[in-house]
Amino acid sequence: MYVVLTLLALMLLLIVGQLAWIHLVDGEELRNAGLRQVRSQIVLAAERGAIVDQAGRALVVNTPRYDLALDPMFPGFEERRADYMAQLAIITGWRPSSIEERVKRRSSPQYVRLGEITPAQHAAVDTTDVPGLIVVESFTRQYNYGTTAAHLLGHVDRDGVGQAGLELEYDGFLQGIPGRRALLRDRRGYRRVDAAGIVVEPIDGQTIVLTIDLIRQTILEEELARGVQEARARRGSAIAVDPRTGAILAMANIPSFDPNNPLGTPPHTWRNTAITDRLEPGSSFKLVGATAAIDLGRTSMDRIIDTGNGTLNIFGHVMHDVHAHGEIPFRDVITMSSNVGMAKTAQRLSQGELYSYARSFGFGQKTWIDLPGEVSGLLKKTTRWSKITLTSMAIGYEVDVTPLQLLMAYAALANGGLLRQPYVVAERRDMTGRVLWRAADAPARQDSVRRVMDEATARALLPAFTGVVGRGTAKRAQVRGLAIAGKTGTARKVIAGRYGGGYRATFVGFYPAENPQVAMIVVMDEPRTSIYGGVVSAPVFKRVAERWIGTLPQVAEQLIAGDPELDLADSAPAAQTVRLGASAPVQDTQTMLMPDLTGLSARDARQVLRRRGLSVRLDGHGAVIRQYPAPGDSSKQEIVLTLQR
Amino acid sequence: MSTWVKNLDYWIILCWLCLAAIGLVAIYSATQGEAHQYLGGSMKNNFDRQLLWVGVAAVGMVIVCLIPVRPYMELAFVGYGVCILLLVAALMLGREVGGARSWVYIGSYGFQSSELAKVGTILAVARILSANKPHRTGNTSLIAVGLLSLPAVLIILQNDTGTALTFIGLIPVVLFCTGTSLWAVTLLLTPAIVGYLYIWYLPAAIGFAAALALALFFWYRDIILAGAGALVSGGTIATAYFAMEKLLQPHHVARIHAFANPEAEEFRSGVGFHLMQSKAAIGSGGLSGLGFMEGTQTQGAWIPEQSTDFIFSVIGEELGFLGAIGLLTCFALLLIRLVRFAGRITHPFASTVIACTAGLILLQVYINVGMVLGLLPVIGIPLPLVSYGGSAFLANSILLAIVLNLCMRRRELSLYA
Repeated sequence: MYVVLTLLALMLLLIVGQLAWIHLVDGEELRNAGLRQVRSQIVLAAERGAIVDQAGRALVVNTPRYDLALDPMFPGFEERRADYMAQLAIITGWRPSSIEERVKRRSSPQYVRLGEITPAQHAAVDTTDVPGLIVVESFTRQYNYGTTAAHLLGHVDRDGVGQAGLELEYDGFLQGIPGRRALLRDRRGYRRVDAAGIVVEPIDGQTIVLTIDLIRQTILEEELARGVQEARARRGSAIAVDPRTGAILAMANIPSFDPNNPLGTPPHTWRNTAITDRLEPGSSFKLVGATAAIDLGRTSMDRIIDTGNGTLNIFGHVMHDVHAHGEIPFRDVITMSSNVGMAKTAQRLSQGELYSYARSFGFGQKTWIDLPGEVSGLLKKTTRWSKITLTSMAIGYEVDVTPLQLLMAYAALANGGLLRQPYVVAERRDMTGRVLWRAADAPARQDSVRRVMDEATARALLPAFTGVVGRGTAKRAQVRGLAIAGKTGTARKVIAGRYGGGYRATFVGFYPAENPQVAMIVVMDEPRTSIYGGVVSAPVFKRVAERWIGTLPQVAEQLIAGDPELDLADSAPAAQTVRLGASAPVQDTQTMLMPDLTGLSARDARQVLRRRGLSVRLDGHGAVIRQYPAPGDSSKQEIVLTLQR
Repeated sequence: MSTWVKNLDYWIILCWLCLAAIGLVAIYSATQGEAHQYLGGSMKNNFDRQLLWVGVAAVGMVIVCLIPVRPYMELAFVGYGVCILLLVAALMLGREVGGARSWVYIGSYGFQSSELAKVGTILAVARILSANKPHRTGNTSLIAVGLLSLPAVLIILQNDTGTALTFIGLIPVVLFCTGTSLWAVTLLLTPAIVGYLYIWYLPAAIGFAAALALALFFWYRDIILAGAGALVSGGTIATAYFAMEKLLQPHHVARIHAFANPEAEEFRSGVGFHLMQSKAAIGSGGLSGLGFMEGTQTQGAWIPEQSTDFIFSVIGEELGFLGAIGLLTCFALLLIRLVRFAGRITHPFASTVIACTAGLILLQVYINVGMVLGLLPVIGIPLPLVSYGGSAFLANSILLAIVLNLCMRRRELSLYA
């Protein structure tokens, strides 16, 4: 008997021992294992940062989006299913049969997304007694001005991840850091808020301030589109930069696309051809040979060069001028764009000298603009040069450049010989508006700012390039009272390795010539009314320059100082008459401005204000019918919202 | 009447009340809290139904106590016959619930025939053993074993191995009651123990065999007995080896291994899932538990069968180590009372009933708690008086009531000697 009892007691001891072991020794580990499967968290989405222009106009903002989802397994739903389906149909305006269809074909038993609803419908959903409804709040990206600056801004995918342009380049800054809220999860995946759990508030994405000005950008786009249409070109690109700093003032390509709906147009329309297309620059590349020859003292601007009858045989290859110029000074070689004269001058340079100047101007390397997809073009090393490469390259063949590279080279000429790194983003600000980073303070990349030529060389070259506009190939770029320097370029396009029938027509220039504030390039691809940059591209430059005067006070002052009789009435109002994109801004991202809250439910209004960093105490219910301050005003210490049920 | 009431054992009643109350609390927490929404269909109402059954059982116990002892003895075989008939009826006509065909329905009220059979069988076994006390032979023992085996076989046919195991487990108890020597009972149990140890861990089986042979030798000073012990255990190992390696298909072997080692990595999502969840729940409890209705695992309905077979995990999580020890103390108190009565009451019928009741409860508690703690394989046996289950609660309560009755009227028992 006692043996049996002892054995039974031993078993009891074993059980108690195991119990103690599990509870007290393994407890910690088991508890954690249990919590791991129980704990879960919802991600509190961070709002993606806005993109604003240099004056603070919101180009890209987020609009709240509500998706309605349903858990058909929710207790109580099945019992009155037909009734609830009818209620859902009334709230959402969808056909009951289509809701039924979605519910029936759902892939997860406990969740089915029904569709997007409006804020008003969201309010209705809040008050309905249909069980199992889930409203998923998210944001969609809204590009307030449609196609304006589309290639700069880029677009995002459905999950709000940048896919192109600044949205891609600055994705890491725009994204923000999502927060999280702890939840408890059961075996079937139902979740509820863990009251004691941690809540990590999301940190919204940074606001990006561009160097672009919305009005200038709009003008550039309008005039480029007009120029492309008039020249019946296949496509066109235009970039403007401040030559003193490298800040991009505007950048546009035709055709363009609507980032709100990028899939609405074919993928080739998404390309920012101003930085992704390589082209043979033609005569506009004569800047490089001229700079080398002057800088190295191989020629002077006044040296007489015999261009003869406009043809030159170089190792069996014959080079032509458009017109025969005879004996002309070197400055006129540039002004009249004589290929023969330029080739003869280039023969005074060694291959290495021309190459190193081209390299120094930034050709064959990226400009390191803060946009994705930039190509570096092609500058052959001298070891791969043939006997005619020296003279070909001097007139802009056998070298591939991007429009931006060419523009930056002319910007170097404009600013007295410094190659600048172009940039689009001027500032990054956090959600409270504090400036986190400023391009002006950032040290530019070591290899991107360098002296390409002596200031004296730049000064010597300048009259030749002002002559191009004044009396040379680009007379159509003339603006009354404004000294413009520039160069045209016309080059046959290489298609599949051969020169085809198409041409690229370029005009690149800067103004005011003595104190340049704008450098701009206009490239037309396969223009059909004329092949010459001076004919199809220069007028675009001229019209943009004219309409921009109102946005550039310093230029306007210089104009008036230089010519008191000049009437600026025509150009000054340009800023006011500009058509600002397709749709008006719906939401201000600036914390200082009051959003329009009328019509929103109290909850939504609070949400909107919170997004702007304002804390709100709610008493009462209903929808906002009046607000103080009024929409668009700067917000005051006190905000009063009048609610009505 | 007054003497009976004086002789009523309040400890047993107190233990019964405590266990029923703990059970109700745990079932309430496991089914009425957060977990409520995740439970399927009828499980949501487990608390209400258990409450009803506790009431029914209480009334039943009073009735059982009011009936004199004699009818239990005289009607024992009739009751046994009825139970066997019910088992057969359930097997033939019954509805399948949870894979087992053990339910008998009268109208819409169903009960588990196998639970009722426990009462009938224990009474019949006690009757057999009391009849021939002076001339007890091996024959009566054999008949008693037969009486236990028949329902066991029927219940196995009903596909409810767990419950059948409690009947089989009663065989050594009964044999011990009949005065069969301890070594014989031990030798009888040896194949089962060694077989299980073999599957679990071979050296453990070999160690057990050696320890058994040594114990038998030093206890009885009998080399032949020791040899028999070694032979039986060795034979079991050999047979098991032959069966596992030669006879059975690999997937059968895998299933057997899963049965014995449910925590092994490869079984975690299958057989081991119950155990993992159960241990995680108990481990979460810590010393004093997470509190009533506060258990994360329980309220998330993570533990399978948390209101029935795995109710102990709920107690372990929400009431902690102290709560679990309290529950075990209740069982220990109850069993100590039962064993004391079994030893003190000389009447064979009464002592056998009490011993069998004690054995039954002990067996169920050991197997259930052992299973929940991962000491034993997962066999579907509820924790007596605590787990949800009306028939089982009623059967266990009735057995305790009969014990109460026998203790209460122990003076009268000599009349029936």
